Amino acid sequence: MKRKKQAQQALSVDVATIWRRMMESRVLLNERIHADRNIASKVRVSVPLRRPGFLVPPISWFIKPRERKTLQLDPLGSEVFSLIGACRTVGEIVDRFAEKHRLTFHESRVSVTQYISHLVDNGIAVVAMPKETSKEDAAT
Amino acid sequence: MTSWIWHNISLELPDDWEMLQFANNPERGRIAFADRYDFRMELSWRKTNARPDLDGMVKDYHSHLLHELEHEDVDTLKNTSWTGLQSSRDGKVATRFMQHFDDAGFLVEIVFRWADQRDERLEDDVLNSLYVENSAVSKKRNWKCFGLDMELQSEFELSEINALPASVVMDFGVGKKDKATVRAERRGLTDFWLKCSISDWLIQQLPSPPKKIETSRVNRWGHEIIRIKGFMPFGSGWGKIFRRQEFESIGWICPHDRRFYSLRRLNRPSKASYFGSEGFKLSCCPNCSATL
Repeated sequence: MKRKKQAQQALSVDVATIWRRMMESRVLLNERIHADRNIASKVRVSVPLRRPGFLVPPISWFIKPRERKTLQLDPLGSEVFSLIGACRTVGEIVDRFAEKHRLTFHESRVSVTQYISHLVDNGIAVVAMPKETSKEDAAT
Repeated sequence: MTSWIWHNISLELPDDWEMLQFANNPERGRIAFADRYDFRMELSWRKTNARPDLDGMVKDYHSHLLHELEHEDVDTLKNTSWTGLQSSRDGKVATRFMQHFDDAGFLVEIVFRWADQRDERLEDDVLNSLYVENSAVSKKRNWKCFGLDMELQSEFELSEINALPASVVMDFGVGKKDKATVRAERRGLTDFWLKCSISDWLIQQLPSPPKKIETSRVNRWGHEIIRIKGFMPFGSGWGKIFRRQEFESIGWICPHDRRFYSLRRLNRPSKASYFGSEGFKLSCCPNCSATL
């Protein structure tokens, strides 16, 4: 019982730290992607693929892997993609997304972070987390 | 301040505090609110048969915080009707209060987690605004949560809630196997998903294609409220020919927050209707409320 309560307490402390670090993180786009917009303002992103390690001669003479994959983002994903270029931190993206669509902070946070995670999973972007400052550093 | 009513517990909280955790058990549960930085308040409730010894509970809690959870500066607090404790851990101050609402038979506990310093004024405002409505006495039950402001017949219990970002669906039911159900919805980002008319969308949400529909619309303070009413077949096989399920839905987009609001009621085939004459009310803003 005691252990469970301590774990719960530790968890709730972590929430604040996780949120803060997430909001201070920067999203950086992969420099090698090509993005274009179609008429419906949807973004289409072409992402370079990593060449599989087993593709060495003579296998590579016969198997030609795809060099790029193309992803069509939905309208909301396209908007988050556009905001990444215009904003410095995840917190800024969340705030601007919330303001535009009249969402609350947490509604926007959950939506935006889901889209960012989708972009990261597909190699379109990376998230740079700020360095964790220890209590001693913060005090000085 | 924003009003919240959850399972008959009514309170007012700062506008930027959002409910991120909730329990659906009316007899015992917990809800938690957070601002953009951290969880700020946890509220738990428990139905009781008799008035508990609050002073004894506070004393036990005092020793628990001090010795087991290793909190510092544990002090007893006394608000007008609340008994509480203040403690700190890792430089963060938390205050805990409890009160037994004798009429409703509920014990309510609140924990505030303060960012830097304890805000006594805000704490008082929240504590003084809190009350538990006695559901046995009133014929109506109010709910105010996730931007939905509803007034339902008291026998309708919350059976399911699906709260996603910018999309909340609450289902209420009454009778065995939910003979009658009421569904309230609030959805944001309408430009992205509402690709048809509101009446078509309301029809699409019905459990089966309707046999008869009457559509009407009314304009109330800039809110165009669409109402559909009719019946649809119920059951399977030959039963479908003779049995029918009545429905009524309303839906509109609030021009103030650009969100879609809807309320729907379904009545399973039976001799008696579960819906009384009191009706169900859903409000989106002070300017507009619609009744089923």
